Amino acid sequence: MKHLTLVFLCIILSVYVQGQENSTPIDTIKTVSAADDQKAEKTYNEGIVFFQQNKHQEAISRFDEAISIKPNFAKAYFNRASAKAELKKYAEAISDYNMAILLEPTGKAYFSRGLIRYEMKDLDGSLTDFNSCIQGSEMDLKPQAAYYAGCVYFDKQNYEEAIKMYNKAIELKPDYAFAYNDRGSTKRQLEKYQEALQDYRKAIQIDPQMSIAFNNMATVKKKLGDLEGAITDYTSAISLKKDYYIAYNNRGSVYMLKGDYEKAIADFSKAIELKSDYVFAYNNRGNVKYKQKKYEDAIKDYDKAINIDPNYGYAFLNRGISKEMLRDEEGACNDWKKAYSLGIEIAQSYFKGQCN
Amino acid sequence: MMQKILTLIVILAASFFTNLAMSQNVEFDQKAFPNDKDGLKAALKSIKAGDKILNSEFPNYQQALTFYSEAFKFNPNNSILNYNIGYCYVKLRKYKDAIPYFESVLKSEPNFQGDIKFLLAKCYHIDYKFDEAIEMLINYRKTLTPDEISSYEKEIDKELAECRKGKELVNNPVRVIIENVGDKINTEFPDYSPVINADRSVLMFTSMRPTTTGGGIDEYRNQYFEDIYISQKDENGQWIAPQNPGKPLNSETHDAILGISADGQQLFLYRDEGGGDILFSKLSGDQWQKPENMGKNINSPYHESTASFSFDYLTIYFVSDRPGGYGGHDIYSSRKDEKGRWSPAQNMGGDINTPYEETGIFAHPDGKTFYFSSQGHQTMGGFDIFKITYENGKFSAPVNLGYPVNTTGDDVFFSISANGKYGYYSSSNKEGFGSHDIYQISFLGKEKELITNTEDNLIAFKNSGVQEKVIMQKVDIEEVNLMILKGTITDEYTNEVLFATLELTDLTTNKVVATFENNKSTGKYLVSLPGGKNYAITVNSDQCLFYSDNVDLSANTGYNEVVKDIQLKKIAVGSSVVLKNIFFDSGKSTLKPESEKELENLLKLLNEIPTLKIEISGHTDNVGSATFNKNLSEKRAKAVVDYLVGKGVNADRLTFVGYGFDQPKASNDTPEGRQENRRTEFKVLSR
Repeated sequence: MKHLTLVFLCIILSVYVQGQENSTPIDTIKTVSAADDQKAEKTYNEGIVFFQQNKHQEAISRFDEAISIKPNFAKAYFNRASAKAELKKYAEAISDYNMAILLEPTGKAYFSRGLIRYEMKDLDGSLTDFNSCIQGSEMDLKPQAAYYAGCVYFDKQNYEEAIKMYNKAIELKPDYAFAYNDRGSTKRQLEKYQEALQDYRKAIQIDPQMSIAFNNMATVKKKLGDLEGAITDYTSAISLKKDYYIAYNNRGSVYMLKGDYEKAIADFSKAIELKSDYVFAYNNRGNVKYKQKKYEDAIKDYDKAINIDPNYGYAFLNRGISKEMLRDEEGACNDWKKAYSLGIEIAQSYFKGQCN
Repeated sequence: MMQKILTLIVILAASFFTNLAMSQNVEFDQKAFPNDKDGLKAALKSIKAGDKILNSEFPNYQQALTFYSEAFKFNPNNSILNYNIGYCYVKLRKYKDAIPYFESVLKSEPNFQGDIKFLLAKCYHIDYKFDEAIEMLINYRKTLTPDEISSYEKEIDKELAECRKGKELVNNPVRVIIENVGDKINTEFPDYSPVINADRSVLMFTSMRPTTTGGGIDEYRNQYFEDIYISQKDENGQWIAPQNPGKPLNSETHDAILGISADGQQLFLYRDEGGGDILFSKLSGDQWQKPENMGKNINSPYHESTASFSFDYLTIYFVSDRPGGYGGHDIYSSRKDEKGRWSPAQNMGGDINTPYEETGIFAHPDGKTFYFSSQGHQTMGGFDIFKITYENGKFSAPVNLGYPVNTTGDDVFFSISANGKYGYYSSSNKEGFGSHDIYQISFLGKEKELITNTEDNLIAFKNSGVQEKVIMQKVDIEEVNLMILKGTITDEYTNEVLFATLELTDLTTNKVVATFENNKSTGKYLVSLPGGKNYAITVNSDQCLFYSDNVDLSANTGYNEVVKDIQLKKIAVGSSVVLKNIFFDSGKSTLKPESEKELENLLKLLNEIPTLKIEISGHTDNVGSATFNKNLSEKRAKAVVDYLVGKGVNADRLTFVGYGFDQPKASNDTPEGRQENRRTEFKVLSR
């Protein structure tokens, strides 16, 4: 959730919300009005300077002071919440957002609290906040609120509602490439592959550099059996993002399906080179080596995957299959037993069938 | 058929020489060889010698081939000579070698008369060239007259069917690993007919090697006489060098292994007596006893060959070509009656037996599966190995074990371990140590699906990918349902090996299913318990209290190998035994009908030793109050005593006591422990 962090910065520092190209700038510094002796406001502004310097702790102490001088200082609560969120003190951040909303129920505050709740996996809470933002009078963050609400529904596997939210985001912001991509992904989950392809294409039209949309489009093509098309698109994704290990792994899996084992190995190896702890690529390279009947080599790859992630059930399952070919009955049976204990159902039937 | 056609050709050869002259056929005559009179003369002499052998009653094809080859060197383009060479190769079962000769004939004379196309089709078939074989057969059929078609149609159709089956099986091979069992077992001499016992601890086979008993050579075969060899697994699971057990198991003539019991302590062997008979021998300690002929209900004046034990050793399955069967050799069975006599043999019926040859019967220790070889059914050529199951009074359709277990050649004499994973057979087709070697076939089951994991950035704002969901195909597992129970029987105090009998009772019917013995020198026992039943096991040894155990396999639980060492107690004051097969309804003291066998055991003991006084005690787990459990256990002990008194045992000899949960045998924290604690025991008070 790296981008969430950026969103906070945006809110305070009037930068564009990441990835949402023509997003509205939000200015919080100059909205403080001059009144009384302005001591609270001065301290508050100091806090903002610290925040800009990434000195979050110092920023928080300034906001603390501002609040102690002026207990109903909504913006100070809001910014302190953002600073606390930066320090991953989410519970405290929420408490500050609550106060900010109590004092000034702005769309921005709801949206920000929604993001934190989403980060904390409070999906229902975050949906409430995004909806409050959408229903409010401020237009600024509505497309983003709809977009994130779509993401929440996606995570909840409520794909119908997710599509409605993405539709709304696109309606409010017709060049919203992320929303197109995500709507495509949602349709893919619903096995509406043609519609998914349309959405991914649209995302790419808006943002021709969007490597993930190329990757996602390729995977749908793979599902539709268009292996050549998939390879072309994964290749595009890779050329846009040279270190795109996920796309390398995916392209490798298509080469494997095609029986082009050398190319598959090259891709999985590249994925490993880019991300040395990428267990999928180790596992998959093991599978190719199995197909090449190089069972010992395959086992070495599964070993690596298991070393990195001792709870990687599929690697145990696959390693067992290679061990079986090497007549290592006991090893195979132990691996399948382990895979089953890690939730791989099918391992149990292998165990039943081949082990005493 | 082929022999007749050939004879005709050879007889008519002289006249054909002039008539068959076609484009490329080169005759052995002066016209063709005007300048080499001597060479021609020698070649013709060789042909004559070869023809003479071919027309003799028992042709030595190899010898005929030597003569023909001489002539071939002189003139490789003569059709009849090429045919005869091909024919000799066919007779020597070197089908592949015959192909170029037959092809050469048909190239120069596409309408060459006789059976050449059929023979060539057969060669193609054996060489896995199924399409060529089918085409050739169809071609052959076209050349026949209506009369010939009606005579040969069956053979042509069978050949066609085998080719089609071969194509089908080769295109869908079964996943097996076929490995030579290695030079510990195999030698440069013929090693064949392997039989394996249930837990793969004993391998027996037949071999014609110099260590044969008496060291004699069968002049007819020009090989050492057959003997039975036995190998066992060492602690590391490796086969030890096979032993020749010598006399009396092996004799100075042919002795061939046919079948062994699940525990490897009994065997059937073959001797060339009475037209080929089955004999039986048993291991007593470490000595195989003198083989005994199975008697006239099994052995006929005809040829009896392979034989196999049922899991309970009470039925023999064997092969015989006696009249009255379905044709050729058929598979028969015979069951031992209560007095231990074999009943008259029964043909196993038309589901197994065909008008063609059947052989190599192997009864699996699950009590319902049979493996056998047949030339009938749907084979891909020669004998193929089939599997058939007998359940609910019916045989299933035979299933071809598939390629590469089966080949286009003869695949016979197959045995398989109790877990169904390791088969053994011999083969001469592969490169090994000698002409016949023993191979192990590991059955790997259906192809296992490798799982490839991928992910995508489905949600644009997130850095992490969403893992692609893996959907797996359901796998059908062919499960073997049986338990192999094995171990050693010893004296609890002295740890000495005890010779004992193990009685297996089906608790649903309270009938004794089978009785087994352990080995008196090693104390080892092994029994196979087919799934689907609830068994009581009673172990008896002289001067010992009986031991009982319960193995409930009524819910099929797959294959299990359980090692259970049994310690028996001498009949002495203070000795106690848990009565594992006394069953009560939950919370009640009513004896369930399944308890009958155990109560009989107890009654038998009391009747055998009239002075014996015993205490029957009841025990519970710790669920419920102490008072309740004490009462319940006492009532249960009393129920047993009441039963015995009812059967005429003097009440003075019996006391009952309820201990409740005061004397647990295991922890009450686990279900297994509580199960063990709920029990009925008896203890010797005096004798």
